Order: sequence, then C-alpha cells, then structure tokens
Amino acid sequence: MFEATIDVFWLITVTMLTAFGLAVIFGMLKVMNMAHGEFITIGAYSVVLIDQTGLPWAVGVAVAGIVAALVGLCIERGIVRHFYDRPFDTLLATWGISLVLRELLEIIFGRGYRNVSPPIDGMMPLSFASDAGYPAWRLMVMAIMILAAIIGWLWYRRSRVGLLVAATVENPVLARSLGMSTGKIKTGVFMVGAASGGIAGALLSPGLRIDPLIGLDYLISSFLALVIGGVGSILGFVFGAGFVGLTNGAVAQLAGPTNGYVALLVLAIIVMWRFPSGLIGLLQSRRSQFQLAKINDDD
Amino acid sequence: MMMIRGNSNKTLKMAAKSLVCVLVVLALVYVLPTFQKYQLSQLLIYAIACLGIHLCWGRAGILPLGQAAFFGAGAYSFGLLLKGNASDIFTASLLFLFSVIAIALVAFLIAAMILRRQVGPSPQFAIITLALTILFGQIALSWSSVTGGFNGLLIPVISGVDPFSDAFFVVICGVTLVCYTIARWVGGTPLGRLWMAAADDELRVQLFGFATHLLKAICFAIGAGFAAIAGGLFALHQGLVTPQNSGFVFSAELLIWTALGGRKHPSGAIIGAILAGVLSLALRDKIIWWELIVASLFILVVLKFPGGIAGGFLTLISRYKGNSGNQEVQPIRPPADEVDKATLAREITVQKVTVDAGPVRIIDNLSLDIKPGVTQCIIGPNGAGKTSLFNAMTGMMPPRSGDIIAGTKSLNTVPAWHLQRFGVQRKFQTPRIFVSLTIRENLWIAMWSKHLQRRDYLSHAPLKWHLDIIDDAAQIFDFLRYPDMQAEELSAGERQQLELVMIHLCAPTILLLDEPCAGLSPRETAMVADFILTQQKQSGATCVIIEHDMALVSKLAARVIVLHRGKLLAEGTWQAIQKNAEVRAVYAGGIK
Repeated sequence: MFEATIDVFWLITVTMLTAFGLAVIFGMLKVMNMAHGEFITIGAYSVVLIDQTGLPWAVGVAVAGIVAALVGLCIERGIVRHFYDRPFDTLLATWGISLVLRELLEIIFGRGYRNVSPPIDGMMPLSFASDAGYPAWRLMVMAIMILAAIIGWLWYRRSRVGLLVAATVENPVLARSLGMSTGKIKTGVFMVGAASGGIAGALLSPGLRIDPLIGLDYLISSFLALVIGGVGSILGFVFGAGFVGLTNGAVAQLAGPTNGYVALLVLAIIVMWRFPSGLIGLLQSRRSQFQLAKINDDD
Repeated sequence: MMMIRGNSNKTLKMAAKSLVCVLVVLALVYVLPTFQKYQLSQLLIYAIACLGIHLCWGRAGILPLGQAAFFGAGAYSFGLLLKGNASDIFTASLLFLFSVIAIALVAFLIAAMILRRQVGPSPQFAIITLALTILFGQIALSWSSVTGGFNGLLIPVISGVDPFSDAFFVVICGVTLVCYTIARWVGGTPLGRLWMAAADDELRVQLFGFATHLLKAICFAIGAGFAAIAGGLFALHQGLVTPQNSGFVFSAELLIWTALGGRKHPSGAIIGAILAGVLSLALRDKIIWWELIVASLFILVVLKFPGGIAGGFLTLISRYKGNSGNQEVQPIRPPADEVDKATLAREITVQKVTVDAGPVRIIDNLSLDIKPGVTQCIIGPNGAGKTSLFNAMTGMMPPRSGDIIAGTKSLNTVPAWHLQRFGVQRKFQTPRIFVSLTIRENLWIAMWSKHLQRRDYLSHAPLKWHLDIIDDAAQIFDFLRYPDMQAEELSAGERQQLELVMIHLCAPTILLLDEPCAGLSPRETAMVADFILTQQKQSGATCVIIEHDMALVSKLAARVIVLHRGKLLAEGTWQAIQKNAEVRAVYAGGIK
C-alpha cells in the first residue's frame, strides 16, 4: 500500500517535471510548443552520451539542460520568434521541428533502445516489516524536484525577472517602449522552457528505454495536465499534474496503461467541455468571489 | 431569360467537365500497367483522407492532427463488420456506409463538445485529435484479440471484388471524384462561407446568430467521414489493416501532403497526396534524409507559402486570365424571416449589476434603463466601465451579481449566438470583419443572420440575396460599390463602416455601438453619423452609442448616460448633462 502511494507520487513527479517547460512556454508566450517532447528526448540522449564517457550522472543532467536550451535558442531565434501572433502557425512549425528533431535523433542514434545506469544503486527500504524497497534514485529525483521547486519559486517571487516577464506578456508594446528588450525576454523564457524539458529527460533517463520516439507520450500527458489543471497559474499546474499522475497511476495499475490513457483523454474532453479554464478555474472563481465579498464587507 | 441561359451554360460546363474526367479515367485504365493502377488507387485513397483535412484546416480553421484515427477507425470497423456478416457486394456496401456514418457521428460529438467553449483557433482541439490518434494506435496494437495486434487485421474477401481489377480502379477514381466534388461544392455554399468566416473571426459569426461550434463540428465530421471512406477502401485495397494505418506517423504524413499540395483548395489535397506519394515511393529508400527534407519543406510551406502548390497555380492562372469577376446575377429579396417577433427586445434593464475582472471592480451596483426606440449615448472618462457594460450585456463578462434583462429575457449568461434572437447587435470598438472574404461575402453573412433557414445552408439561393439597405449605404460609403474587393484591402475607417453596415443588415431592434467613429476623419464621421441617424429614423430601433466626441454626442443623442467609475453619474438630455455640475467636475479632472 505504501509502495503504491509512493508510486503515484513518482508519477506526479514525472508529470510535473515533464510538463513544466510546456506550461511555461504556453502560459507566458502563448505558443503550443509541439517540440517539447523532443527536448525531453534530447535531455535523455545527452545523459546517454555523458554516461559513455564515464563522467558522473550529474554532469549529464547539466549538459542536458545546456544542450536543450541551445536547441531552444536556435528554434526561437530561427523560427518561432517571427510568428508569435499566429498561434496555429507556431503550433505547426514546432510540430514540423519535432518531426525534424526526431529524424535527426534517429539518424544519429538509430532506432534501438538505449539505457542509462542509475546514479545511485540499491533500494531504499520503505518499512521495517518487509524487505521490499523503492529504487533509491527515484527518491533522490523526487527530493531534487521538491527542492528545486521551492528555491525556484522563492527566487521568481523576489526577482525582477518575474515582473519583466509579466510586463512583456501583458503588454509587449508598452514594455518595449519602457526600455525592456521584449525579444530577449521571450527568447529567455523559451530557453528556460526548453532547458527544463532537457533536465526532465535527464533526471528521468535512468528508468527509461530511450528511443527517438519517447518524447511524444510526454508531450501528450503534459498537455493533458495543462488542460485539466488550467493554464496560467502555478496552482493550476500543480493541480493538473497531480490529477494526471493520479489518474494515470491508479487506472493504469488497475486496468492497464491503455485504459489509463483512455481515462485521461475522456477526463480532458469533459473538462474542456464543462470547465474551459480548467479545474482550477472553478476553485479560483469561488475564491476571488470570496475575497471580494470580504473586501466589500470592510467598506 | 438571362437566368435560364446562365443556368444552361453552367450545365453545359459541368457536362464538359465530367466528360473530361471520364475520358481521363478511361485513358488511365488503358495506358497504365496493372500494378501502377494498383499503386495509384492507393494514392487516391490517401487523397480522399487529405480532402477531409482540406475541409477542416483550409476552410473551417480546425487543425486535424489526428486524421489517421478516423482512417484507421474506418478500416478496422469495416473489416470487423465484414468478418461477422455475409460478404456479397450489396451487404458490404451497406456495412461500409454504416461504419462511415457512425464514425462521422462520433467525430461530430467529440468536436461539438470540445469546441463548445473554444472561440477562435484552438490549439487545444488540435492536440486532442493528436491524442486520439495515438490512443487509437495503442488500442489497435494492444487489443489483439479483436484487432489482430501488431500483425494487423485480415480483411475477408468479398466475392467479385479484386483490388487489381480495372473495375476496382475505376470505382476508386469515381469515389475520389465524388469526394472532390463534394468538398468543392460545399466550400461554395453558405455553410462553406460561414466556415471561412468563423476561421477569420468566430465571435463575430456567433454574434450574427450562428452556433459556430456546431458548424465547425459538422466540418470535422465530414472530414472524419472522408477519412473513414478512405480507410474502408484501403482495407479492401490491401486486404489487411495494421496499427500503422491509424498511428500518428501516418496522421503526420496526411497533414504534410495536404499542406504541400495546398490546403486552401480541394485540388491541393489530391495534388499533394499523389505527388508526395509518387516522390516518396521513388526516393524514400534512396535518400536517407528524405523524411527530414519533407519535414523541413512542410515548415517552410506552413510559414511562407500557405497556399501550397495548388495555391501557387491558382494565382498564376488568375494572373494570366485576369480577374474574371462574378457574373452579374439577378438579385433576389430574402424570404420573410421566421423569427419569433415576441422574442425581440426593445429595451434593456440593468438591475444592480456588478462586474469584476479579477480583483478589479469594473461596474459597481449599476442600475439603469435603456429606453426603447431612442438614440442614447453613454459617455464617461476612460475606465468608467462603458465597454464593460456592453460586454456584460452581450454575455462576454457575466455579472457577479444583478440582472441584465432584454425585454423579458435575462442576458446574464446567454451564449453569444442567442443575442441575435433578441434583436441585439453589437459593433466593436476595433472593427471586426472577415478579412479573408470579399465585401460581398461579408454582407451576405450579415444578411444570413436573420434569414438563413436550415434548408438554405446548402443552397445557392442565399448567394443572390440583396437588401435595400445595401443600396442606401452604397450612396454614402463608396467602397461598397466594389463588392468583389477583398475586405483585407479596406482601410481602418472603411472597416468601421463595413461592420456598421453589416450589423444594420440584421435588422436589430437594439444596437450597441462602441465608438463607431473612432479613428475616422471628420468627413467620414459625418457620413457615419448621418447613416446611423437615417437608419434609426427608418427602423425605430433602440440605439446605444459609446462616444467621446461631444459634438457628435450632441448631434446624435436624444438622451445621455454618464458613467463614472462603474457607477451612474447622471442621465438626461444633452442640455441637462451639460449643465450638471458633477459631470463638469469629472470631466475637468476632478474625482468625485
């Protein structure tokens, strides 16, 4: 039972890690980055390469982030930047890019599976009663993610970057006229999204059978998390990723992975039908009404 | 007499075209060797699926990233139905029809549900279709007791059907031509033009009274139906269906072929499927980078040449031939509308309405009456809540509390396409027209809002409709004399005027005009004011105008409403408002 709970937590972690980049780029730049899955794949392959040289896993994670960010830089500067006001065209262009990247990866690495050995071996015992344990590296990844999330959030709230990004998104013309380099800010956001995809791929690589196509499933599950949770708020993101991880974990364990996928898709369609701003939209509108009611009572 | 000759001309042209098609098919039957006919049939089958993509993407602005899901569904369901039943040609055709219709219905339901709350281009819908195709591929792979799993599903032989025969080739050619004709014809009907208008500006179409999500769902269903037809034929052609025929790789190929061929014209789908098919058969194994080249070409076409090959050809032809223009047709008056007069509202009552946007209170416990049959202006400093009041009245910003009542009906949460039934029409501050249509088509869509009955959606009669208001307006606004001009070429001022004329064509009983003269020259402003006044006098409609130009307010308004900080500051005649000390204080920069 305890192990199943941890498993669900693990699935939520995976969804959060993989969906973060997509959420950042869609939430802030309004670009549905269809090449997001390929950033994850690139991250995983970076670790494969570093693993072959014998360098430690952590180096692989760092390299994955850098490589993905550079690929993101090329894509944003080369193509996406010119089409920010055309949502379908950026979607299709990034979709085309994802096909290109997949082909390139296939030419470089072939179609066969690759594996990466876990950074720390062994199982962490979960209870005193039994010998059953949980892979230690997974627990480590969960710890890393929680730590990174807390640090990142604190930094974002205190730094000027958050403000600049918010201004750029809200009113790019005004932001530019106030001396902000909105182009550079957007490039930066895109690179952060790409890098986080790469890092996610690297962090998850020890448990994966890595091939050029693994990105696609992550793209879809990330997208479903976005739709179900709601775009544009951190809480919505956490909510959506949690929901996807939970549903995926629970249904897949009970009735097989295909049914887990069916359940998620049906859920997403129902959410889009009834609650277009996501499940978090429901909570938020209640909450803001509550807050306003309070403010008015103070008058 | 003119009409009859025009018709017989048209029939002659059509007969000539069909004769050419028959001759081409016959020539192919005799010239091509059997195996090439077999291969060409396969490409034509793909072309049918691409025609569906053309309709969705090129017409209605829906991106079907998962066309292969419906292709696979068509193939598998037809195969499974054949398995359990007798296999003579007649039963087989019935089963074929049944599976196509069932798949189209499912596609309609899914699209109608998702698009219900998605106004405008929806990346979300595109990805749901992609998810569907991935799911379908997975099911085909893992549910092996039914689908045959990785090895695929063997299709039972129907007696008398041989995919290598000439008859089979001719049938495939025939079905392709029929699908092509349907796609082309439906694009020219009112339904097709409404799809294009919705791809331009969906909210505007909704305000003209059309439930666009249903129109778009119909388009998606037809597209899925085409894919299902293609899938069923493919099953017969190959005798085998595998999970690859429903997976995302195949979906991607279909979309890329349509894009390269040209998504905006049905011929593009056929050109794309045949050309890409032939080339990839010839080159795929010779060039390692083949898929890479195709994907890069796709990106280039999407971003730089959205017309594709067909689009390029058509521009060349039209340049060579010159613009032939529309033939003058005898205009006819639209049939009398069957709108229930009882639902038309003449006044709006705003009762204690509060509207919030996030934490900001925009309209604060506001109560006012919009009086029937009078032209009234709403004025107030920026941020007074004027446009938000219109938004609240048209369901775009549902009030947090209070009621907005038009006649006897509440407007609080009414969908945008119901407003037309109450006679409410709205003009936006930044003009919203359909830029990819001509001026004539823009006017049609406005006219259809009131008069288009269900049977008219696929008829050509509404393309001849004409209302006298257009002539009146053409006296004032010059650009209306060039109805075949693309609306894209209009200046900002002309766009304002076009939208104004369009909403008058719906014969509204309540007009909400948001700064109809913004950005116009003094001369144009006078013309617009003149038009509004004349029309109001003729129709006796209730007219609410948000305006900043006080000279214009004094000219137009029988009654002035002053808003300030989301509250009603004053109301009355222009003279009374001019003397009002509070209003003066606000406009002099004071804060009450």
